[in-house]
Amino acid sequence: MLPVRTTLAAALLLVLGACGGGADEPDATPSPTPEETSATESPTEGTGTAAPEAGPLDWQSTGHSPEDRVVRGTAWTAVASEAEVRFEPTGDGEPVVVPAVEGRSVDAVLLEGDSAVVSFAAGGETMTGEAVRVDLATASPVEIVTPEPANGGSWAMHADSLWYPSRGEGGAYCLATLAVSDGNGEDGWCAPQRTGFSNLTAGEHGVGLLTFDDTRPVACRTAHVLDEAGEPRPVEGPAECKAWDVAPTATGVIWSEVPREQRQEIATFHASVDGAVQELGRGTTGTLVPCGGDAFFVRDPLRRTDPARLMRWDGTAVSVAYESESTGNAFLGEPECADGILTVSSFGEAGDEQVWAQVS
Amino acid sequence: MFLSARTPADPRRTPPPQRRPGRAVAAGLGALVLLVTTAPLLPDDRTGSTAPDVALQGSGPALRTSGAVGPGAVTPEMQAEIDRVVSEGTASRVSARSSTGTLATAAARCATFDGQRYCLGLGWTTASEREVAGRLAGTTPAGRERTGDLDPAAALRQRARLTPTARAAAERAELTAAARSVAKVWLLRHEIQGVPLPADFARRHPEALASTQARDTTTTETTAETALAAASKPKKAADYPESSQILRQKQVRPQQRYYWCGPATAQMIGWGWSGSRRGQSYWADQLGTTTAGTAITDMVRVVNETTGWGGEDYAGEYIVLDIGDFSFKQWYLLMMRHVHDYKAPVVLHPVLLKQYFPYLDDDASGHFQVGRGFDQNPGGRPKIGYFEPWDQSKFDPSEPRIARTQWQNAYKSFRANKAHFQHNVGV
Repeated sequence: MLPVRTTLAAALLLVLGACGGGADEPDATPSPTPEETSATESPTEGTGTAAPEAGPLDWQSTGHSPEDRVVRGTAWTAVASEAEVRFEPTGDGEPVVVPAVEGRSVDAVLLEGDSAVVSFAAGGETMTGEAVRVDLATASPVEIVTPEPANGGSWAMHADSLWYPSRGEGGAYCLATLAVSDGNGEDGWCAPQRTGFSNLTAGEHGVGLLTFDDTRPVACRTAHVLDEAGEPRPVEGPAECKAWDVAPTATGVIWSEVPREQRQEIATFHASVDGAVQELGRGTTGTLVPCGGDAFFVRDPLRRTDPARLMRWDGTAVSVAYESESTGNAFLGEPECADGILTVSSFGEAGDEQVWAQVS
Repeated sequence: MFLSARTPADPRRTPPPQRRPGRAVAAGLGALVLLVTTAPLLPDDRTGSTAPDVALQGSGPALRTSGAVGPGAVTPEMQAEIDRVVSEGTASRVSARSSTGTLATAAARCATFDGQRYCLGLGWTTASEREVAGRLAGTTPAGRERTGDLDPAAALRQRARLTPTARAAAERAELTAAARSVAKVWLLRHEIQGVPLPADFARRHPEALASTQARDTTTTETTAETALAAASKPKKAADYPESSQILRQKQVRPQQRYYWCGPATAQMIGWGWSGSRRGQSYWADQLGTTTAGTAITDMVRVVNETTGWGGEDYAGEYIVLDIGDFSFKQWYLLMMRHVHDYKAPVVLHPVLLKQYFPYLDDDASGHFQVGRGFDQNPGGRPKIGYFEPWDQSKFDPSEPRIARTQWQNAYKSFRANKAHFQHNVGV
């Protein structure tokens, strides 16, 4: 474990990310793509947009192995293994342990205040899932029965609201909502046949999700946000079929696109700011997380001298929220957020570490 | 860079539509190989020649490289070691219903051949039997999404269910194949990790000598010592081109069943060899795949038995190699050597966790992929190219389908390989 570092560079980076890159080129030599070679990480002058510098974050060690899955909240810290989730109080008190359902492993772990949701996934071709909501104050888990969860998939929680995939009529893949405190749930929008959805995000600015079809060899993917009626509305701006991450923000929406399908891990991030699109530069697909009112995504090192970074988008400007000790051969896991607190696992040749910081 | 060295004039590069299995090919081409290896010295090429990368210094007999060395003989000492390990298994038979820990302790048996350790089911390793038992005792969570890699508990129970005779025969076959490949292990460790070769290596392993004349005269100390002295200086990353790749990216298929990553990987490797595609059910049959998955030892066995990638003009007989003690640079050098020098695919063996493969929606089990390219990406981060058999949306509307051909941060793939409980590869 590396020594805990506090606060990393918060220099404002206005990132002029380059999009582009071709489609799935046949038998192409893996030449560097524009998003890999452009100077996307050089700080530049502002663009005239009011861009308040994001405040530094005070990173502290979680005390756990970076290989452990940890979600730090205000009152509780969830430590998930495949077999159980252990909710440890940050103050005095006894831990609450939620074991996995037999034959299943822990999948989603969501935490807000004294409420938690844990889903359990099964392997193979199992269609239905299982999940519990837990009042940590009374240590009482209650199974989520209605709507019936689907197996696996993407889950998201904000305040007392939960969004998760469920099985509708005829096996349809639907988006259910549930009030965590009282367990009242209802069916929502269902994906049309031969389509699905993933990459759910939920925060104080709304809910985002990625829909996709069954196109071969690569799915056509579209970024959406939920409207007030709970219906997905496509986001304006992403290139057709190229989206991956998406989350509503204070000023619009942030999303990512995958320029080259053979470089699935590399995305370019963009944000709409009051209707105008701003490019945020390169990032790692599948890492966008709303937290404390802002949005965060991972940027793996571009050069051998670069650290892995956690980038912060506050609706007007992007800044660096975390940098790894390692450079070059380094990367960050998908950040976790609970109660406006981020938890990040960092892996690299100079050592691994897992840290948390309060965003808001 | 695609198969740049394959020229119509070279009969090895223009095979009939369906090539014969590896050993047959290797034998049939033996004379040609020997001609190449005894030819006047050539500089190590950057132009894509696939000639064996023999030692090219001095005028004495030289050692072959790890990819060009053929199978060796099973010496009486090796046979005694095989007998010992097999009899230990017969004596310590446990029920398939035993606990995973008991099964692991009974199954973690290793043989030492000429100073290298081979552990049943795991491959060539520097780990102790106790460490191996600890790894085998670790279980993949029951509910984790499985893609077809055989988890330790399932592997142990499969082996325990065999009759004593069948199990002894399987273990004897596995250990015998291992014993015959020990020269390749020494050479690989020498080339990749810089491990010095034993002083008597050439004498003990005439199969590693480059010329027939040298092999015929290995009874003399002088020849063997000269060969060792002439061993080529191991290549470094700087000696390789910026990028290289093999296999046609159109010759890919997703796995057809959720537990068929092994058959799909074998299918793509076999397809790349023969140019024709056999169904995944054929490969599942060859591999002995069950709903519990496929073992990496079977992956390597089938590559050797059904393709020519294990021939002496490619990678040499494939082995299962524990990379637990490899640094990232060594691991990446191994990938470059395999792809560029041997022009042969690697059986990658990662664990499918989201932190390593961001296109996943759920963490999943151990997995097989086809390693087939590298890009050193000067100034950037090195990349690895691979075929991904896992087809997510076939079984789950929560994950979009992605391209089968992927290039990604090689360090992530290295960590995914190391995070697997076996942390080994087929090379």
